[in-house]
Amino acid sequence: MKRLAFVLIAVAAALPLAAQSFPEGDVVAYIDKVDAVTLPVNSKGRMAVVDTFSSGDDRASDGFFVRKDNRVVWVATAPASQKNFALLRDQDVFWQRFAATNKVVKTSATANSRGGETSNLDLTRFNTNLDYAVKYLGEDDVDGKACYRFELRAKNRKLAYSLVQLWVEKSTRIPVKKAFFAVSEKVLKYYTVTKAEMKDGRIAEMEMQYVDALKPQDTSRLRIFDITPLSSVPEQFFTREYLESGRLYPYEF
Amino acid sequence: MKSSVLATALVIALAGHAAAQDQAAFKLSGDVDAQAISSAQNMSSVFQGFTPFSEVAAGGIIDGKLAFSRRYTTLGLFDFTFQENNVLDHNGAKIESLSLLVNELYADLNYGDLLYLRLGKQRLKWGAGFIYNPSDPVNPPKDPTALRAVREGVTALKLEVITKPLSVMTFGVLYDVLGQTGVGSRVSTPLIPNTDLALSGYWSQNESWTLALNASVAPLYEMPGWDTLQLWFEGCIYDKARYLLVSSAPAVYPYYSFLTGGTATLPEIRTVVLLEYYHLSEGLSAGDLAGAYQGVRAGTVPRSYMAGRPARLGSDYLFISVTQPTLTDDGNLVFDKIGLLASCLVSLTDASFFATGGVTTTFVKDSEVDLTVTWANGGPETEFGNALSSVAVTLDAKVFF
Repeated sequence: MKRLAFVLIAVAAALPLAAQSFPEGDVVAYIDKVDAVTLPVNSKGRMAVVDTFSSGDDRASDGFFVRKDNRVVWVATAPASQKNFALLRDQDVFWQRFAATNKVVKTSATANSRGGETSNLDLTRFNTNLDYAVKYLGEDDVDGKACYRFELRAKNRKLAYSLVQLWVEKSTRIPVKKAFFAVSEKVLKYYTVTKAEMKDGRIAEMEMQYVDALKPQDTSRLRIFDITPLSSVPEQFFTREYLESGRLYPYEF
Repeated sequence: MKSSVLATALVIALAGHAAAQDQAAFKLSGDVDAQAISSAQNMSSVFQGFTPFSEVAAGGIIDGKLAFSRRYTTLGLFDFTFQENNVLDHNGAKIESLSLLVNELYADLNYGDLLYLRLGKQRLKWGAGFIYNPSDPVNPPKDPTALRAVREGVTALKLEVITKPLSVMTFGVLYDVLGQTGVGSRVSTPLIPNTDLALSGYWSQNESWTLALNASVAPLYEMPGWDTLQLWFEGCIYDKARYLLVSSAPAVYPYYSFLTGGTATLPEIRTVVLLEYYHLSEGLSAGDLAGAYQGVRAGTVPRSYMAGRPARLGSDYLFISVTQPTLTDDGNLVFDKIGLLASCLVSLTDASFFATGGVTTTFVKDSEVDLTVTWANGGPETEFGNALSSVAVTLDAKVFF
């Protein structure tokens, strides 16, 4: 009798899991495909960020980035006072280069070196599976788009958000919404994709709107454009020595 | 001078070669700075009449960087400072001066993605210290009392092999006096977790040898909130004295110097705190320093011995700096555009100090207005007590381009 009760409980517990089994197979492989749609593993692109505050003030900065898997270097091209400021992510280690002196120091993933709602991690996070353990939560709808919903839990405490929820549009594999939670599981901020242009099955230009969940009037508009796949990217780009040498310059390509 | 001319010729030749490459472009960036300074003269300073002093001065500075690049990689750089200075009240006379300083002028070449070559006037990376690099025998020394001063490079040929586990830099430095010409090497590695380690060596016929160790550690990098804490150490031993001796007491051999420091950004309020301490085995004791100043006043010790060694006369110094990048960071129309800075350099040898306080405002796009006050004080036989300017107020208006 006890054995029967145990089996019944186990079956009952497994029911929701069975209901949420991912229809497209392996979740990890699917998330890799989603990342590939957003940004090729070896690529370069340009980024423009505008922070808008409830006070009416706004702050803009532009830059370019070069990506090699989970290593990214981001160099500011505007405003003029920040030209040459750079942010380097080498796996889980972050560095920043001061605009005026070329001095390079370690920085934090959670810091927002350029200000606004976008953290250093937001500017350099492009490989979801390396940073997070992904779990499928079910189907959902975002602004009329049919989506898969996932839960992302940080693999490393250094990462900015312990919990993230991700909505991926079924038809395009574009991550149309992401919500970032604090350790207390309270929503800190979220973004929605407001514009996406596809080319050859991947995004050529994308615009996201970050919203501060605690102060919804404070937003950041992040635009990634001129996304270009590269056949190879030198390893040296992602070392402190190379960044400090000043060779990676804010050339507006 | 000769070495600078040689460097210029070589850089122009290399830039010409690089110009033939595809997608090459020149980019100019920098700032134009209009500056006004009002200073109060320290009447008890031994440097009165020896070092030029003006109560009120105004001028313009253009700090520019002309980079020559292909795509996002530089092929060369011309970093310059053009300064025009007017002394408005110098015993009733008006003195105008113009100067152009070439800080760096170099060309970059690379062979594949491994070997990098830089030729020309350049700053060679050496120490971990923020205000001063006591182990650096190559570059013109930083002045801890002039943190915003532009630093000149040296004419050198540098070869770098950069790999992820290990980077090696080897260089030869060319000075006008052949005997000062030297060669050096630096090996750095990030292999120890959260640590960057570098070993350096330098040799020249006149300066003899220097061996240096630099280390930077982020001990709590794994802990969110505490990951901005960084500690560093810079130390060296060397063979020959770097400064003319004004003391009869023999210095400890081999000569040595070291600096240790740390910084952290306070969570939420974003205040950056920085602390550095350095020790120079060649530095004078308080008694020797007092004796040296008495000697200057008596005419037995040349004033040039003391003037050319800013914040390096004594043996021990402590530097504390607190920076608030902006008062708020939430879109406030006023407080988001105001930053504060306070720092103090204390000579632990003679208890004199050099303090700085400032306000930075950025109300207009691509511009900055700074108000800075410096204050030097101590007794009549102390280092900062003999600074020529006791109090100085500087107003800067900068436009970035």
